[in-house]
This record gives sequence, C-alpha cells and structure tokens, in this order.
Amino acid sequence: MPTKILFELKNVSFTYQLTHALDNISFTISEGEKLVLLGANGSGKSTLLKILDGLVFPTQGIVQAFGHTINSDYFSKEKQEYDFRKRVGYIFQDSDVQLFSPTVWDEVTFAPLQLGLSQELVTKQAESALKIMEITHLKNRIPFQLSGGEKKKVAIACVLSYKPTVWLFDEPTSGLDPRSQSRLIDFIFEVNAQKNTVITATHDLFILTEIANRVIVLSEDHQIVADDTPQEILADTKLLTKHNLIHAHIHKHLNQEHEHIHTHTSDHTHLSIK
Amino acid sequence: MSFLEQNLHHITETLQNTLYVEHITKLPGLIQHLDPRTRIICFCLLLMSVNLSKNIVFILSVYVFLLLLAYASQIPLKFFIMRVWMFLPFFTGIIALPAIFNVFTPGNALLTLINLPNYHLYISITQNGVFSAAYLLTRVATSVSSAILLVLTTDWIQLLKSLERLHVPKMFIIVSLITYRYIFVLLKTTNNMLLSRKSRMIGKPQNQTHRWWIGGTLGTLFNKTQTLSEDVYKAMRSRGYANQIIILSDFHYQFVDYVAIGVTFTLIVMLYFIWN
Repeated sequence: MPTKILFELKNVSFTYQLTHALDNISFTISEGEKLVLLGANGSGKSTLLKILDGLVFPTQGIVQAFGHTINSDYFSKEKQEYDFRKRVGYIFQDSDVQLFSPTVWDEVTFAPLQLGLSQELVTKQAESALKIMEITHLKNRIPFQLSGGEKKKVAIACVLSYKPTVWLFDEPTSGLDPRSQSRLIDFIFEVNAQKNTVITATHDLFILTEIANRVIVLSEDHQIVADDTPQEILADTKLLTKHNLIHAHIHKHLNQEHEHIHTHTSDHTHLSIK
Repeated sequence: MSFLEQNLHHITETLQNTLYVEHITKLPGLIQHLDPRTRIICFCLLLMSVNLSKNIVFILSVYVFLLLLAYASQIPLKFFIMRVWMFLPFFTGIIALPAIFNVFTPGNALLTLINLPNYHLYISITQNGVFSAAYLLTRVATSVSSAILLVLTTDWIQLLKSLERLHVPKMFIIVSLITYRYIFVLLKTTNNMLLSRKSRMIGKPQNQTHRWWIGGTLGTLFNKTQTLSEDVYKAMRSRGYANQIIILSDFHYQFVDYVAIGVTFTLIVMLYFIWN
C-alpha cells in the first residue's frame, strides 16, 4: 500500500533580505516518516522547518501540505489555517521563544484554546500532556524559573496538548544534559510509533539512527546534497567531512600522535566517529 | 561602586524583590484567600471612597483599616509602611510643601518665618496650609497603600487575568502578560552582557568609553528584543494565534468573596457617616 505524501516542496528557495537561506530545494515527506534534516550551522535547517510549519513562505517555489498549496492566500481563510495548525506542531530550538505565557498551565492550554477546543477538553488534554511529560508539579510555575530541561519538557507538552500528527523539532537535544537527551529521544521514538510524522533539524550525528529512518543533508550552500538512510549517511565520512558535520584533527593519546575523525556534541565535547 | 557593579546590583535587587513579593502573594493570609476579582473590586471601592472624601479622619480610618488588612495578610508591617513612606515625601511632599505657606493658603499663622513690613514681605506657615498639605499627603498615602496592598497580595498574572474577567480589553492584558514574561528574559540577557563586560575589563575605563559601551549595549539589546518579538509571534502563530486570543477561565467566586465585598462596602459607608 503506497504511503500518503504529506509535504511536497518543489524548487523552494528562501532569501532573508540579501542572504540565501535555502536554494532550490525539492523533496517529499510521507506520512509516518522519521526524517532528519542534517546540516552545519547556517545551512538553512531552521528556515526549512519554519516553511514546513507555514510560518514563513518561500521566496521562490511551491510548498504543498496535505494536498494544498501553503501560502499567504491559503492562510487568509481562518478555517484553513486552523486545520493546518491542528495537524502540525513545532518545538522551537530556544524554549524561551516558545514559552511566552505567564505560567506553565497557561502555556499548555494556549494552543488547544486558540484552536477552538471546548474548555473541558482543553483542561483534560492539558492535564494529560503534563502527566505524560511528568511535569504536573510545574503547573503553576513561571517559565523564567525553570531549568533548560524543564523548559524543553514544557515546550513539548504545549504541542502534545493539541495532539498534532506532524511534529517538527528544531535542535531538540541542544543544551540538554545526557539524561534529558535520552528521554527526549525516547519521546520522539514514541511519537513516531503512534504513526505520527517526525521531522527533526539537527547537526547531532549521535542521535541519527535513533530518531531517523531517512536523512536529508543540507550543504553550507543551502542545497540538498544527500537523501538516504541514516546508516548510509553515517558511513559516508567524505560527505560528512565535506559539509562540516565531522572534522579530522591530530592529537595525542598516551604520547602517540594520531588522527581521528570527530564530530561535536552541542556542548562541544570531542567524540570519535571512527 | 562602579557603573557596572551598580547595574548588576540593581538587576539582582529587582529579581530578588520580585521573588520576595511573589513569596508574600503565596502566604495563607486573609486577602490571599479571596478571589483576585474580589480584591480588585474592594481596592476600587476603597480608592474611590478615599478620593471622594473631604474628611481627613475618614481617610486616616481607611489607612488604619488597610494596616489591619496588611497585618491579617501576613505582610510585615514595617516593610508595608516603608514601601509607601520611603518615596512619598519626595514626590507628594515636594508638591504639598508650598501649600503650607500663607502665600498659597492664607489663614491663621502657626509660625512666622519672615516679617518685614517695610518691604511688604510676610511669610508664615498657616493652620489651613498645614491642614491642606496633611490632607493631600494622607490621601495619597492611603491610595498608594491600597494599591501596594493589592500588588503584594496578588501576583501580576492573577491581577491581569482578573482585569480581563472584569472586561478590560484582552489585547491590553495579553501585551502586559507577555511584557511581564519577557522582562525577566531581557534582565537575564542584560545581566550576562554586563558580566561579560566585567570579565574583560582591566583598570578604570574613561567616561567616553562607558558612554560608547552603553550605546552599544542598548543597540544590541534593542536588536535582540526585536528578533525575540518576531520569533515569539511565530511561536504564537504556530499554536493557533490569529489576532484573537482566548484565555481559560479559572476563577471561581466563593461565599467568602461576597462577604468581603459586603464588609468593605458597609465599613466605608459606616466610616463615612461617622466622620461626616
């Protein structure tokens, strides 16, 4: 049975004033996929996620989502925008951007309220989201007082409270301690196991095999340079080196100089690939 | 204390003060038990009565009532009184001071300051003048005290949400709530910028260098604020915001709230009749 195509991008380019963020991008995303957008800093991953969430529109090319062309005309009809928003959830890289409400409870209830759910259903779904993320005790806290890991959990609960079928994660493990990273990866796995589509933008190679069944690599020229399984991408060290996702340098182990190929985790610890 | 240390000190003080006030709003005191809307209604009743009354004893009676309420709400009285009277003499006192002299308020002289008949110069402190100044000071002090009592017992979020329930325009409430939320993010950013500057500073810089750095910091902060506001708007859009905002109704009136409004109203009427 053929899988349903949810997103289709045709020759999409995006320019911020005079700076290119995306250059002639074309690909499709099918229902239930676990897709990672892999690229070095500034390659255009976050812009691509914003385009997929209909927050910005391409300066050139066409974006189709759920069979409709997504542009400002399409969103000018309130119902059409609501239908789209109900289906797509976006977890921002900077949780402080996403957590704009005065308390955690206000934050978690914000989306379902705006999307027209009844007050009873909003309360029920928000409480359930807090429970799943194990943050019910933070309900009345002010986002400013939370740790980075807690903020990320609240940000996820905000999206979980309206149960979208497409999840967009922007650098989800950035700035998290190892335990929080591991829990987040488990969560992404669970979301996808429930037949949801998960699209993650990252440059963290160590989580690829766990959060992706397909990887699209973006170059520093903002173009797609590879589209394959995570295993194939990770095996291609030439590709990863060329696009600044790993690098080789010489250093000493037990007074012996030798060369390793490395990637960097978000907190810049060196980890050996090969 | 250097310019940097002063600013760091003020930012820390603001954050500590916010946390302390937040601690008071969560104490199990009398006012804290009431619905925030009740607190606002009682506050408005007291404010109106104080500002409509021309009797200083009535205003003083309301002030004493506010002190009793503060005590019953577990607010340290010294902290409550100081918060009002620390700044009042500087602001209202300066306005009230000229009123005590015969030049502005004629009347029986209490104390003659200058008496030069040959030059037709006579300046004295009059009984009516002192009364007028005292009347203005007590009225302002009582009004400010009632506002401070409200703010000390109700956190900003509850306060703004209650105003929304009392039909203050939603857009005003949302903008205020978001502003309150991001003040702390920007304070933290400013604090980090100041600390970063301090960590790289050797010796005492010239005033010109300071001015140059302040200008740069303000510019950077403005740019960061603009980027942040654009991103926050996108985050709101992403979760269904479309220029109309819906807020969850989570306030419930209880019997005690009706009693509180009734008692406040009755007390004001009683005091009014006693002193007028």
